[in-house]
Amino acid sequence: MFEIKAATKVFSAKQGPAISSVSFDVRNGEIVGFVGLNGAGKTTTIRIAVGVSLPTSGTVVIDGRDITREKPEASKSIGWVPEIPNFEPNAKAWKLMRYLAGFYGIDRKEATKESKDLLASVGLSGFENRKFRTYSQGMKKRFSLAVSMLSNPQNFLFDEVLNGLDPEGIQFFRQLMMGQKKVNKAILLSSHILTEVENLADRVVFIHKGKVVKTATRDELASYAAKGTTLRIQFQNITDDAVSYLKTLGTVLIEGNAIVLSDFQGDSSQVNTELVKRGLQVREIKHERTGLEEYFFEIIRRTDTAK
Amino acid sequence: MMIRPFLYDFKRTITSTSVLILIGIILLISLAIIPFTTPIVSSFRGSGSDILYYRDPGAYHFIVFSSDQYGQPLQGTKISMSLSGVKTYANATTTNSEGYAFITLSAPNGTYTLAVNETNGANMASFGWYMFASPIGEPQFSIGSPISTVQDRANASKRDVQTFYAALYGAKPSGYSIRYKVAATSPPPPYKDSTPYTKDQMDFLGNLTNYRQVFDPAIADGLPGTTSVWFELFAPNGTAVSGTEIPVFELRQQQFRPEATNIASSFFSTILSFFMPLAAILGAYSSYGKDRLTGVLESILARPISRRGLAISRFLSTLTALAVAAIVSVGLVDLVLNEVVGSVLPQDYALAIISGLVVEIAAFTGLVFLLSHLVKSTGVLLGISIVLFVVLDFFWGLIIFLLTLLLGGTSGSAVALEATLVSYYANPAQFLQLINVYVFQSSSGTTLQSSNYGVTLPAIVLDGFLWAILPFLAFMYLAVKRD
Repeated sequence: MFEIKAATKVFSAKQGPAISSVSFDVRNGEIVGFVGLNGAGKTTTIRIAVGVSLPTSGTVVIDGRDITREKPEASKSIGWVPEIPNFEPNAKAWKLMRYLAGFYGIDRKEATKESKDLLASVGLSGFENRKFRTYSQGMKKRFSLAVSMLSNPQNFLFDEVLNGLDPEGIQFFRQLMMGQKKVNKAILLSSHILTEVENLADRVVFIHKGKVVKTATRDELASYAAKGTTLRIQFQNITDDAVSYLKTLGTVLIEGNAIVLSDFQGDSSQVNTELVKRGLQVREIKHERTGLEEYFFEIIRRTDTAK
Repeated sequence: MMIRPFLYDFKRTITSTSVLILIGIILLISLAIIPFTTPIVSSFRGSGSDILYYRDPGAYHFIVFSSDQYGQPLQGTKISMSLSGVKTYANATTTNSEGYAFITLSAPNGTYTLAVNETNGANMASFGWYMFASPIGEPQFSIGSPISTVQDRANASKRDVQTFYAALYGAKPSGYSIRYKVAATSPPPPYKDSTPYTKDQMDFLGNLTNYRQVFDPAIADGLPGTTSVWFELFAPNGTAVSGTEIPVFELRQQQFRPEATNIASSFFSTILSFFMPLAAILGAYSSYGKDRLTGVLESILARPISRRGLAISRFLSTLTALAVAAIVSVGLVDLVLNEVVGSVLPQDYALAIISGLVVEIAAFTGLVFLLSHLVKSTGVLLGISIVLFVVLDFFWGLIIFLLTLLLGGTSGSAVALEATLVSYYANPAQFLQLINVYVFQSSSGTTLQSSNYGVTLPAIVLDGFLWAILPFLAFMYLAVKRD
């Protein structure tokens, strides 16, 4: 397992912190989704967690070892697949693997065998002799995945690994993550593809503007979905009367001339009838599916509104 | 810091293709010493020309022969001559197609100081000599001797015998001959008066028909180098007028070559001193800068190695590889010098040069590693590094010269020299120059006492230490404490 404790990163005093007091953990046998908008701080957090970036304050503990103070030992337990894998471009894949295996104390003969086996296991059999720079984006991610498994680490951090993959690639990663979970590995999955996160994650950590704004379990997500649907009601003009009425039906968020009514359970046509009776001009009522995506946006909306 | 990943990265970096190529290039470049060992053919033979004179009641008449190292006549050598006594008498002329110049100075018999200036193209020679009262008409030598040796033009491993002589009143020698005798011991018996052998006891070498002639004595091979060969000039009446003993080794002496240390110092302070900073820049770029700025280094940093360990291993492996190349290079230079010149570098000097090269390598490696943390792209890193190299290696002298002028100094003045020498402390590319100034107590051919200009051993050691360590420490701070 690994635990991120109050990690803060300031790149520039003028810009403010990229992440601020980010704390969460990923336990063994668990897949944790890590979601947020672009620039929310997901990659920064992951880079700190794997030790390639230094936190301004806070720390990350990997299987009981501090990534900053005990990096070599802590790094042995980490497998990292970055969003854009970046290895020596002119090296042949299997030689690159063998070279990197040396850092784990794997002897040359063993490393040669393991490299070829791992490359085969990620579907790169037959491509071992190609230079890294000739790989496609998907192949680079598979290669990076093979590298991340070199030391059979207890913890995996996948940063937008599903980006740019074809359906077969996405399925491969999905199955791999499920397989690793079954053997009790701790997995952090950062992704924009929220349906995948929803399907895979046991918990989801929401990060927004550098701060963790919510951590939701699979049960919490399920109960959110069970709470009801979300209606998006577009008005000509919003009145206090309309807001008062809709608040009796669910949670109200005002966005311009629209009201987002969540946790709604009922018949939307009756809502329309009642609003018209009250003399309000309803331009549109739209059903929105309740899932991680809505949950995510709702959380963001609430966070921004609270500010 | 776990030692195993550190050693692994160290080993992999030091044996990386780019580093090995650099080592190979450095070793190849060390073979560039060979052209430095080729003989230096000066327009002038030795320190100047041969000069003899005779006097008549009202004047001194000089016959000058200007030649190159092969004894070949040099036409157009400008000869300026002055006799300083109670009064000064001066005259000048140039040598003719046979290399002769004839100068008359209308000075009465007496004691004078002879001053001669010679110019031939870019070559200049100046010398002075005392001249005492002499008999009328009798040829006297001021510079050179009637019998000497010159390099054989066709055979680099032997020397010929040159005669330079005049009859009474400066007439061309006629009826004079040169003879020689190989003797087992020195001085050879019987030694009578100033002439060890009579004309009949010696082998004929040739007749003199001009002021200056070259003869090729047939000295048998296999004679010990210490064997003496006695040469005599005989007048037409059979009396010996001049003789000299020349050992066999001198007749077999090769062309003039500077000694090993001189060759090496010019090679080290030009070629190696020029190339080492460039090698360090390229090595540092290849082993660290490029990987850091392209992000490839992160793929290593994600492995079980500390930031400190990775930074130290990359620096030390680059430094070690280039330092080993520098040591082997100096060794190769020594081997070449031993083979070609027949002498090796003094151990102290070789160690000083190796230390100097290591300082240059450490400084430039540290600077490029440091720059890798201050710039954002490989292009900018390479650009700044190359500019730094060009300024420090090529334009440093010009910059200091211009600064000196701006501050009111003049070219060639003591202030300018001091500014130049002190500036070497501020420039790691000039560190070998600093060492050479200290070792040879000279700068650009000017003899000096280096301590008068602040060039002392403790100061050099301190400067070298600071250049080796400061860029590295600054780099380490950024590598360990900053992203």
